[in-house]
Amino acid sequence: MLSILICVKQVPDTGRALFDLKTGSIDRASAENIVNPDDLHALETALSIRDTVGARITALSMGPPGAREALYEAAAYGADRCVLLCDPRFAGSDSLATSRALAAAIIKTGPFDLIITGREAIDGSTGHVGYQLSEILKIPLVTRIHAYNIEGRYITIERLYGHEYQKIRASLPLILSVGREDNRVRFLRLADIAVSSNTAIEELSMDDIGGREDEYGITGSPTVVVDTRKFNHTRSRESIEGGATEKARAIVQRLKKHGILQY
Amino acid sequence: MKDANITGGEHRDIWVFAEIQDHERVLEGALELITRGRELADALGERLCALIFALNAEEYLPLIERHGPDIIMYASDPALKHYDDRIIPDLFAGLIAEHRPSIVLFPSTEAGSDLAPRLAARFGTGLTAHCTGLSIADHPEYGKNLLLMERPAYGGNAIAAVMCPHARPQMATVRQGVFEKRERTDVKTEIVKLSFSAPGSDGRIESLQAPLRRDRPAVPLEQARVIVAGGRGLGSKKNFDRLYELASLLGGETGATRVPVFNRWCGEERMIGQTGRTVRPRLYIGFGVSGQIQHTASIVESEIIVSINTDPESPLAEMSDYVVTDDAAALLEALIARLKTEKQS
Ligand SMILES: Cc1cc2nc3c(=O)[nH]c(=O)nc-3n(C[C@H](O)[C@H](O)[C@H](O)COP(=O)(O)OP(=O)(O)OC[C@H]3O[C@@H](n4cnc5c(N)ncnc54)[C@H](O)[C@@H]3O)c2cc1C
Ligand SMILES: Nc1ncnc2c1ncn2[C@@H]1O[C@H](COP(=O)(O)O)[C@@H](O)[C@H]1O
Repeated sequence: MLSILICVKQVPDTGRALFDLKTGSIDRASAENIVNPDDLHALETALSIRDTVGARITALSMGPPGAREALYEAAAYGADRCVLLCDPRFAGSDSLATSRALAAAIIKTGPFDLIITGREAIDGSTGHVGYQLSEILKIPLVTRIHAYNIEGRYITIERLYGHEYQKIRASLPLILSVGREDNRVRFLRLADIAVSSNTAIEELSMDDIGGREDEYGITGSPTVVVDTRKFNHTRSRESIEGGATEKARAIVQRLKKHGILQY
Repeated sequence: MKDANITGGEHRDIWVFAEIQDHERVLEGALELITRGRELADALGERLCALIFALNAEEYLPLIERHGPDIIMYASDPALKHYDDRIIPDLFAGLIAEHRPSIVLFPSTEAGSDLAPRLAARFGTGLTAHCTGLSIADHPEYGKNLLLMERPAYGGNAIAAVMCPHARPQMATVRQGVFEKRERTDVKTEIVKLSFSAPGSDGRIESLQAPLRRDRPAVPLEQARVIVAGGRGLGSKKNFDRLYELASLLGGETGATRVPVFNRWCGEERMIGQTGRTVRPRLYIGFGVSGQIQHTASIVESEIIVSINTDPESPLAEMSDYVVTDDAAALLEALIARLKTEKQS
């Protein structure tokens, strides 16, 4: 049976959250926390592999105690084991410090045949973590998977790269990064949601995964945010009136004036 | 875990990963980055170096040279035809360790988004993704002449300014279309050919068949002169498909918000916005596009913006030069009809 680890991050629902103009940050109270959308696709890949060849799925999340909610959701979808990497010393980690902590936790809780991450987290939108896990763990990473087939210790994958289809064969262990184009997430059954909050969650602190304090959190993060400002933009907004035909004529006339239509 | 961070000794110069797209042309975004890199290098009084790894790399030297780097370093080999994550990161890391650049810039393409975080992890340095602004700035606490990297934050509602005060190199990936490319005739370029021999495979990943080519839009959205974009307000794939006719009448390309992409009215390559492409056409027309910040942040550089929406108060109307309050599909037909009549007369 394969052992699969998926990385799930809890993120504020940035699409819905209110933005505080004064402080330049998200009004946390207004922001509902969700599982990062791509991570559900990562989980879906793990579940469908389990459906075909059998696997034990571990969900790993790094975050504050509230990130348990994300793990309960992963359990509701069918994760067998949940691990929360939680320590105030991880707070303020940028993508590199996050990758280091996740990699150390993966080594501690592994070994795994497959590690699956989401392509990108919607709060930071960096898309770095998959690649950086690949570097730190020295395990190859495959992205943009179109189709795959597992045969023993090998996986054949059809993938997209730029404008090309590639067909490759990779040996395990392997890291996959999965995004929303790669599959459709199954529906969650209410009965599973009810049961999932009884799932035991293993907690790991910095002392459990080892490493130096200056590798993690703010001190371990090479980048700093020096300023945040609200994004703003307005224009003249001339209103075009009349019936549809007149409006079309008026627009075409304006475009000619600007020299955009040339004939 | 061990970082290969370079301590001691000075880091200087700006490097740009001059990516070759589809092994046949220099990526526009690379020329844009070289142009911006030139300005940053001038501000610092340092050199700008462009790096090319490609099959027949010599072909691309003249075009890159015209955009004003002080140095071009290149390697040319059949093994470099496609971006390969088993080859390029090692090659690039070796060069960084040897020459110690202070800043390294990458386009936010698939290759750049693979290469940059790998190098950042190897050198234990910071990386800022999908930047929309780069400048040189001083900071009261962190010191002088640092790279100031701006990027959308909080789902596009804000712009965050990021620095990498201590670790080197300072690294950023940059969206295509963010900067303008410009030729420079006043710089003399030194060209350095790197010796390269392809490493053997470790056998962990092997290719089973030669890559197959897919179709793609005629002009990348980033370079389109005119963009007609559709959103949820177009209502159906059938209506959305009419955009292609208008685009062809206007000599432009068809773009979309995230909604048509999610509804499978069109492919992901047409999505404009924070998770899609950044465009700067002369004309952008939005049909049934509400103008959420994740979309509009990537169209603000358009010269003229026209909004067609049943709601006169939509956020896109706010940032439009011309506002039409009407049904998107109906006005799309009216515009197609009008342009056809004009072309005939
Ligand atoms: C992390 C994150 C990243 C995102 N990235 C992107 C991105 O890269 N690109 C992107 O586009 N979006 C992105 N989004 C989504 C974005 O927030 C918006 O949801 C999306 O842009 C809205 O698309 P829309 O304007 O088509 O739809 P809606 O917001 O639903 O607007 C539809 C508009 O059509 C109008 N309308 C309705 N009927 C008609 C009619 N008959 N005729 C004319 N008008 C009509 C309505 O008044 C409305 O204004 C992202 C969101 C998140 C959270
Ligand atoms: N704190 C975290 N806990 C668990 N997984 C994470 C965390 N941060 C990032 N990831 C994983 O890495 C992917 C890419 O994140 P990012 O590089 O931050 O855009 C996410 O989709 C997750 O799968």
